[in-house]
Amino acid sequence: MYSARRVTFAIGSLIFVVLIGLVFYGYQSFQRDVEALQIAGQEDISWPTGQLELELMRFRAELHAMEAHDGGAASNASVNQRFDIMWSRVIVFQRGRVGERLSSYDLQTEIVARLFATMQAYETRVLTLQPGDRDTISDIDAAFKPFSEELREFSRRVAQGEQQISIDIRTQLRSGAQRTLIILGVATLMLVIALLVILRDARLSRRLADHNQRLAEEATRASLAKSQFLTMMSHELRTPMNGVIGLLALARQSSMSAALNRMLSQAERSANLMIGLLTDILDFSALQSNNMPVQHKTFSLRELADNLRKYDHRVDQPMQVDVEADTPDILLGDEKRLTEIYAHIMGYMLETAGVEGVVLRLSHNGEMLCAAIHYHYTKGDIWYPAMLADNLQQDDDNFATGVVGPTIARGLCDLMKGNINVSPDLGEGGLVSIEIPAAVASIPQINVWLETQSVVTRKLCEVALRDSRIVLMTAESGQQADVILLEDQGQVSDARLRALRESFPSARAIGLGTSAERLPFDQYLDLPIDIAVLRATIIDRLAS
Amino acid sequence: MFNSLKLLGPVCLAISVSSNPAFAELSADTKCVLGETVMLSAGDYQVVIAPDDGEVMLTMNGIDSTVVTLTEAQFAALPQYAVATENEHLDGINCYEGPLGRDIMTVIGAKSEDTVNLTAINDYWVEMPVALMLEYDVIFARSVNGEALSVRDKGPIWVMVPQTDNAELRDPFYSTYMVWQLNRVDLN
Repeated sequence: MYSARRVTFAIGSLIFVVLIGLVFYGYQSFQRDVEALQIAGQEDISWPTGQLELELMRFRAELHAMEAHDGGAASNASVNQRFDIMWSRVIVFQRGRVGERLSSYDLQTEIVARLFATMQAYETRVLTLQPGDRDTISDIDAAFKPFSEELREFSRRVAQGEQQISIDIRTQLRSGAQRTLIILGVATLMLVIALLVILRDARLSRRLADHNQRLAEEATRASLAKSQFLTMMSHELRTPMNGVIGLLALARQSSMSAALNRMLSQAERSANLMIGLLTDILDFSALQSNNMPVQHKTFSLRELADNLRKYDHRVDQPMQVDVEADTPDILLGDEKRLTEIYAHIMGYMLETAGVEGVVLRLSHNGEMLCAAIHYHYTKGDIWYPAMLADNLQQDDDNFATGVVGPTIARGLCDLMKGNINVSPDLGEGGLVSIEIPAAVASIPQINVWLETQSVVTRKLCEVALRDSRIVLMTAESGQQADVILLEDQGQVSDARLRALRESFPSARAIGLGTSAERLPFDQYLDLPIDIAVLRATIIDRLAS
Repeated sequence: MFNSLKLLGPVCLAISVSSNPAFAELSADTKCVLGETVMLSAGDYQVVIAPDDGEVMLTMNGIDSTVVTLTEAQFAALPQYAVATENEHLDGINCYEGPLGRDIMTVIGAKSEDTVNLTAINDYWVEMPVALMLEYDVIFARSVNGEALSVRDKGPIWVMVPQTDNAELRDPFYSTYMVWQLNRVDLN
């Protein structure tokens, strides 16, 4: 992978350098083309030489005409005008960019300079030329005559030079177009190479990603297998442990010596602790594999408090649990998991940390179930139970068995979107605060009129209907019954049912008995009573 | 910061102006302003149309075969302008003074769709669209940088196309309209 990156870097650098070179080369080429176009856009300088040659010829023609016809003042003016015009053509060679370019063709021969010197030398004689002065005319003509041939040669030279410049410009533009084509070709090639490198890198990255994903899947599978093994083993261990506990309990019932009884009791307690540890391992595995279901059911907070007070742990010291007055009793949540959270944390504080004066106060703030665990720690050093709140102890390489409970509690708390905050005891008592979302349940109650002949049937019914939402009415209740549960005894029951229907006209009448379907009842449940069926029937009525 | 830049502004301008050799050739007392056509005089048409026995400098054949001749005094009585521009026959930017082509066209009654032949002393001529003179400040220059043009130096009149102020005119095609030693204008 490292060598592949080096290759990519080398190719990328090469492409970068080549592109920089192309930009520089393209700029140079562009500049040359611009210069060529600037030259092409210049004034044509072929005509001034031709014009000068022509004006010299015209001047000499005027001289010859003057010599031949003796034209008088008019001819003299014509000669002077031709002289002036020729003068103006010479001036063209002396100024401006046109003059500069023309002079570049005349650097060695200096024809125009010599012509101008001759004009200056003969200026006075030309201006004062008198008709009939043949000698002067001949002299002047003889002085200017040699320039005719020289100017013709000069014109040819300039024309050839300008043609060569035109050829050079065309060549330059043609080669410029070729260079542009080369630049485009090389740039395209570079782009193709860059594209190939990108594709190659993308393929490498994809392969790496696939490899990483496979590794992650393998790690997940291994972790899952570990958790499943733990779960299975814990479950398998718990079954024989239950056998051990059962037999120990039976053994304790027989008459034994006090010493033996004490040992059995100790063994039974150890077995219970073992069961607790196995349960913790199961919970821990479930949390690790995100396989811990959380229920949202109604529960009684005060029942939860009662269960906590009876919770079996290794310290001979009952958990002190209070529910603040005015705290709603029926909440929505997972009673079992909540109990485990509080029990694990308080158990840890009492058993492992050895803090004292642990008191759990439960309250509700409208959205959260708030548990405030007050404690005292008077063993000298300040004990800061950080592991209750942070996740450091989940480090697999440094896992103390004592923190299994808090770890499970923390995991459950996270699962239920709650939080744990810890304040150390700085002399006035410490506080562990646990807040877990738990809505107050608005549970409708159902009034049940229960009337049986058999005490056993009544007791079974009472057990089945033990629910905070179900109110078993008494004669003094003075409320309307929603359900009438009446043990069926044939004709006697019919009369009684009529009486009850008069008292509770909207109630649903459910008969309890062994007879076939009885029409006077709305529903009929067979005896012996099935607790689950009875409970489901009443809950259904409550739901409807 | 901004004050410093303001102070630096004229210095930078001075540097850029002095570093431009073409602009530097304009004399301090030039009548031209770079980028503008400056009106020097409103002209006096009474002088233009009044009979003048002087030497004819410019002969113009206008609409309905009318012939208008202008002596130097009559030419000078036309509205006078100054335009700074450059060309390939003189070094740098120079100040050209004279009447505008569009005023000359008004005198001969030329319209935008017409063309005129501009003829020089040596009978060289070129056909120029009148529209070009109406659109741009083409000047019939009688003097350059305050000095009257002689026949020996492109005089008496040099038709000047303002190439510096109009980039689209910077082409040899428009340079062909810059006839010098002009002495005749014929409306086609």
